Order: sequence, then C-alpha cells, then structure tokens
Amino acid sequence: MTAGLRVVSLSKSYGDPPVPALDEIDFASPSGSFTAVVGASGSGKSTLLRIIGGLTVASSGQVTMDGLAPDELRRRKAVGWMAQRPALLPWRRVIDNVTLAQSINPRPRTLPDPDQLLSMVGLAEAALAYPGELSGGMQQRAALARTLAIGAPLWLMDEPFSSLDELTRETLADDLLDIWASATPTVVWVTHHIPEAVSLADRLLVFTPRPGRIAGLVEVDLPRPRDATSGAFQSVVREARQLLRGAPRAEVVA
Amino acid sequence: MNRRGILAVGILVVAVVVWEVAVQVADTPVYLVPAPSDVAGVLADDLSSLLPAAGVTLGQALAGLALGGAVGLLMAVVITFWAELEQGVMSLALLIKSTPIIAVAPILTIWMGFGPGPKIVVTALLTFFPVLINSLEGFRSVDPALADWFRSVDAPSRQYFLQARWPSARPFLFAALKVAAPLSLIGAVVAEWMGASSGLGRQMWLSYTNLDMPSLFAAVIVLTVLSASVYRAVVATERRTVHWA
Repeated sequence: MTAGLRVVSLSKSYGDPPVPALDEIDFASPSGSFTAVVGASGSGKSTLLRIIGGLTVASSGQVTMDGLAPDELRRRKAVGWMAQRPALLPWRRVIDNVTLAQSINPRPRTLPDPDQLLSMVGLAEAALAYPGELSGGMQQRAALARTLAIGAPLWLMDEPFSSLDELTRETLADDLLDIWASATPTVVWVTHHIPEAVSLADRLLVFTPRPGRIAGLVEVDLPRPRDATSGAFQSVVREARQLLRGAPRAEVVA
Repeated sequence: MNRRGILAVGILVVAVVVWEVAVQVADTPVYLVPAPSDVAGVLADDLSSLLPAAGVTLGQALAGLALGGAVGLLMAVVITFWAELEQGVMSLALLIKSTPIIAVAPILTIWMGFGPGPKIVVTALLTFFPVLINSLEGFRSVDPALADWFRSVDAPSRQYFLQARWPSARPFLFAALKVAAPLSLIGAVVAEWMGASSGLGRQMWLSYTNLDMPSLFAAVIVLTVLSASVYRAVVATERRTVHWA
C-alpha cells in the first residue's frame, strides 16, 4: 500500500472519434499535502479532479489514494468534494445541510460537531438560515463546513472561490488554510488563478490545454502565511506563468 | 387594492355592463342569451341547491385528482428508479391519455352507475398525465453540481431520491397541479353530464334540456369561481411549501 495520492499515466478522451482531454498524467502527492492544479479553461483540470473523485471514469491509467481506487474511496466516504458552486440543498437549513452530509451513507468514524464546524467557518449565527438567504461567500463557507463534516482524508476542490469577490476570497483562503493545517487532509485544488494557487499550495501542477498535459511542477517553498507582495512570492508566480505560456522545461524548478 | 387590481375589476365590470346593455337593447330572448341580471337572480334564488351540487362536484373532482395524481406520481417514480421501463410505461400512459373521454365516460356510467365512481375515474384519466410528465421532469431536474455532491458521498439511490430528487421535483409538481386541479373540475362535470344523480354537471344538463339558460349560466359561474378558487389554493400552498424557489 502506497501512502498518499498517486496518479499513473492517466488519460481520458471523450466522444467518437475520441477527443483527448487528458494525456498521460503522472504525479504523486504525499498524505497531507496541498497540491494546486493550474491551467487555462479546457486544460482538463476539472476532468482530472472528477476522475480522482470517482465521478468520471478514466479511459486509461490509474488513480489511488493510500492504495484505494476512486470508487472505493467514495464508498468509504473518504472524498470531500467541493465545487465551483456551493451546491447546498436550498430546502434545508445550513445546519441541516451539514448534518445531512454526516447522516448519508454513514461510516464508523468520529465526526466533528456540526455546530462547532459552523463556528469554525464563521457561520454560527447563520445555522438556521436557508442557503438562499446567504451571500455567495457565506454559502461557500457552508459548503466548506459540509466538506469538513464527513472528516474525509482527501479534499477535491474545483475552483471553489472562483465566483467570489477578491476580498471574500482572501479571507476564506486564510480560514481554509487554518482548517487544513489542523485537519491535514490531502488536498487537490483546481484553479486558473495562479496567485491563489501560490498562496495556498505546497506545489503547483501546471497544465497545458487540449489535451491536458502537465507542463511542469512548481514547488512553493515559502512559509505560511504568505505575503503576496514579497519578491519570493512574485518569482514563483512568474515561474508558473512562464510554464503556462509554454516555456521550455529546462527552466522549471521542480 | 392596487392599480392593477382596480383595472382588473374595472374590465370585468365593463364586460358585464356591455353584456347587460347588449341583451336589453337587442331584446334577445332569454332562452338564447340571458342578461347578467337574470343570471344574478337565479344565483340568488338557487344558491341553496347550487352550493350542495358544487360540493358534490368538488368532492368527486378532488378524489379523482388524488387518484390521477397518485397514479401519475407512481409511474414517474417507477421510471426514475428503473429507467429501462420508461418506454413501456410512457407508451401505456400515452395510450390511456389518448382515449377520448367523451366516449369513455358513458361506458363508465353503464359499468359503474350514477354514483361518484365514473366521475372519479374520468377525472383521474384527465389529470394523471400532466402529473406524470411534470414529476418525471422534476425528478430529473436535480442541479448537476448537487448530483455530483451526492455521488461524492456515495449516497444510496433511496436517499438521493428523498433528499435531492423529491425536493427538486416539488416546484414541478405544483406546476402540474396548477393545470390538473382546474382540469379535475372539468372532468367531474363532463362525467356528471353523462349521467349523474347530483352535482353541477347534472344541474347544467337539467337546465340545458329545459332550455333554462339563466340556470345554466348560473351553474357555469359557480363552476368558474370554484375552478379559480382551486387554482388559488394550489398557488397559496406552493408559496408556503416551496419557499426556496
């Protein structure tokens, strides 16, 4: 059994004749690490995330987390899935959204207290509100609480902040990092926002589009919390940008 | 009352006045077109018999709607859980829906007599289809992002149905009821017209055979008010139960 997330020569094509979306993706993320997948729209980042989460089947290749295949991970409720839209149940109160996550397909493990989760994400006051009564940022906070609620060791997050304004995004990112530091799940974070990726992740997988390929790996060796205005931060951002634009692999610091 | 409300009432009043004046001026015989004042007179005099008749019709209509709604809903649930049955169930539903009610109603009366039976069945035949179509669409209308989340926690299909499909379908169910509830009254009245011992349809039929136009119009007005009230009741219930939409 191998610890952490392993993706081995993973490919995916759609349609007939097949159009490749992902081409021979290979990477490994240690347990408890934070990996950001960055790339332009259509570079297959979301497809990769869906395959890891067992929501889409790969055409070839392999994904395992601690030796388990995606479907097995889902069955064990080991996947914390968070998408671009909060996707809460609008007919249930915020607190009931969180408890539902725990009561569906229950697994024998100690789960965090829903009320505590809500205070952790700053929603203690909004526990009894319906999602429709909350702002976009608060809804995404509720979705985060729901993700935390199942105590999953793997978080798959598909641009969860992309529909939020800059300020909300930054405060949520800070909170998220605090929570991640205490829960230490393995995170795969998809985004097209390079500074966001650099401020959050341990490393960046930079994707080039059509079909999605890994252009390079950028380690972010900076202490958290990170100062986005510092020179070191900026140079990592620059490095990722160059990779995105198709700079030769020789320049990659991996 | 706001401006729109006043306008709505105004238009109604103008229409009634025009009708009254037209009948008086043209001196139309009352067995062809009664004046609103004639109808109002009958309404006032016969209310004690019209209201119980309306009660009978409403009861049969709602019973038929309940039966038709339950059958339509059940078919939609079956198709949702066993997609391979869709073509079979839908073909059967279309076949039943396409039978001409006007031909079926007398046969049902021969089989089941003058009681509520045929009315309930005719109403169910008319109302099951809109409920089936809408609830099926509703069950399939779950937000894809929400569906992803349910899959990510490996929710059993029963849970997915109760927590995602059913609430998602509720606005669709109410859309169906807005059509089906007024339709259920038409169904009951048509069936009563084919032979009944009581009900608004029977009253209409009696008035019709006696060429008693004011009575016929009075019954029609009661039916119209009933139909609008049923519709309003559905809308009010929807506002209370589908608060998130």
